[in-house]
Amino acid sequence: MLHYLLRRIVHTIPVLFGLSLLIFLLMRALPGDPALLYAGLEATEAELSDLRERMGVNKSLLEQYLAFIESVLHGDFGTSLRSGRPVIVELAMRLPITVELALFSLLGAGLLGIGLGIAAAIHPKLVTPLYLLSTIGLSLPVYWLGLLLILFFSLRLGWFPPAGGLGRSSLILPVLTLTTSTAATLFRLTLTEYQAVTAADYMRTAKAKGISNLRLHGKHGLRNTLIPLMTFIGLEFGNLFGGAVLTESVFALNGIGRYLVTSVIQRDYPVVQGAVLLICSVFILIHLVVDLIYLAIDPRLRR
Amino acid sequence: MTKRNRQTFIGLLLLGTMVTVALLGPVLYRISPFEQDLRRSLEGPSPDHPLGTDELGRDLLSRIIHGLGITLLISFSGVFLGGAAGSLLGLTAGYFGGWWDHFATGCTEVLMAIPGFLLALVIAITLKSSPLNLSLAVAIFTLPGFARILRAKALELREQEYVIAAGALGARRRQILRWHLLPNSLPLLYTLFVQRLSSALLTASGLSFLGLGPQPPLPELGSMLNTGREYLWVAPHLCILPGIAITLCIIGFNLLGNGLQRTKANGN
Repeated sequence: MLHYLLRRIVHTIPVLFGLSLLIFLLMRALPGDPALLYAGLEATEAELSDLRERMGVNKSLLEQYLAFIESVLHGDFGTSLRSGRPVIVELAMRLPITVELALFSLLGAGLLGIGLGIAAAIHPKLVTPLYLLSTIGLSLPVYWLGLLLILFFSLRLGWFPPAGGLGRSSLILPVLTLTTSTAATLFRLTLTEYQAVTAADYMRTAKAKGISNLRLHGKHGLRNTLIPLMTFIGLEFGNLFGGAVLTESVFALNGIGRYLVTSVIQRDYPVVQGAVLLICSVFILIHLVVDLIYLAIDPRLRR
Repeated sequence: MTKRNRQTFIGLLLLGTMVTVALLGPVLYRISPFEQDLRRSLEGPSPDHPLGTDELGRDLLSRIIHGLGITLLISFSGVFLGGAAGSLLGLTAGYFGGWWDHFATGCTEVLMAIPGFLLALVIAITLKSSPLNLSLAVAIFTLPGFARILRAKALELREQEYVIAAGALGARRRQILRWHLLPNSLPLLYTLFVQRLSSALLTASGLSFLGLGPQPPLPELGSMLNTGREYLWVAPHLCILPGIAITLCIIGFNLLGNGLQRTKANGN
């Protein structure tokens, strides 16, 4: 198992290099002169060429890529063209909101999706209505759901601030928005997995031993469905981030997702480059951590 | 009718309706989606404008019909392009093996390391905003999924006796790929195609909701939501109606995709 993990860690290195190359090339393919974007239209030609020299954009692509890799390896993800601050500082400032949004949504989706999935697997009567509900939940675009929630809860009922509010209460609607589709997917997965588990021999044996229902489903049932659920949750972080980009835009939350979109629109390419690389590295790390969690869940794998 | 057949049927019915509206709508409902009338902006339903008008006084029904066509076309062509390229990459990688397999798998893994929506976002900004480029972004978003699954399929088919026999009879590798691997992957390809349509549509209209899709005055459902949200309070129908159109399409794709998936799983 340790061998497997080591191999996985070594394996991510070429992926990270490929990733950096892809992002680097995409950013260089962007139209427009980065020096001009940085200096503004009033800059003289002399200032511009000086700036190009300093930014290194007049060197060959290979040299630029190597310089990019070198600074990334030193923990320098570039400087924003707009604010002049390091990308990493800008991102760190906005990270808490995105993390809160994603984690609360994941928590909500986990409770709702897994709970209802198990309930439906135990009580077959619930399957059809809940399945129908999950189809709708899966099909609502996050940005539209967000707008509907704003329309109903903020504008009609006035319960929550419509957008850009401060404090915890302004997170309720965004979390609700982001929870829906994840909960629906999680529900379906849990239902299928748990239906297979309830039919398993060890469940019948455990029941025959006379243990309580809670122990039966909590210990024997749930633990055996956790592995596929963990895999899903690990992979879901990517989708969750995509959803967070849209949700933050709808609710005008100052998180990483909306920052990325504004940087994209303002062509602040060091930010996009640094942010994408950083975000993807985090996802690769999350997938590794999920593999580690398998060990904690399933003792059979520890051997 | 069994339950899964009913699901497939309702899905097909929904999609059939949406596609018919997108194809026949512009022929039967002849009001232009571009014609402005500022005196009549943000109106509710009326005999002249059955679904009301938008912020520039354009007919909303007409814009939804045309927008539906554009959105569906972007999703279909995106999944088709990405699916074709991904399948080619996956099938050849799995069948030929060797350095090509290493290269193709490496590319797929790099693309998969980027969260799908982020990948499409980055591609969308590199290209100029237009319907064609949006479908290219969707294509690249779709590509790695197809490549990975079709590579596994090729590895499985490569070991089948009829493929080995064809090779022993002197068939070229290209012929085997064309006449044995591809036809036998088609059922899988159809299912994948339908299943990926929903995420493609969500991504495409999501990107144009962020302003990275077709530019105004072209109607696209996502970008209609984007302009409509400024008028959420005064004219909520500008947001509600295009959203319903998107959601109905996605429900159709999801039902059809599920139905096909289950049919495949049951092996009939």
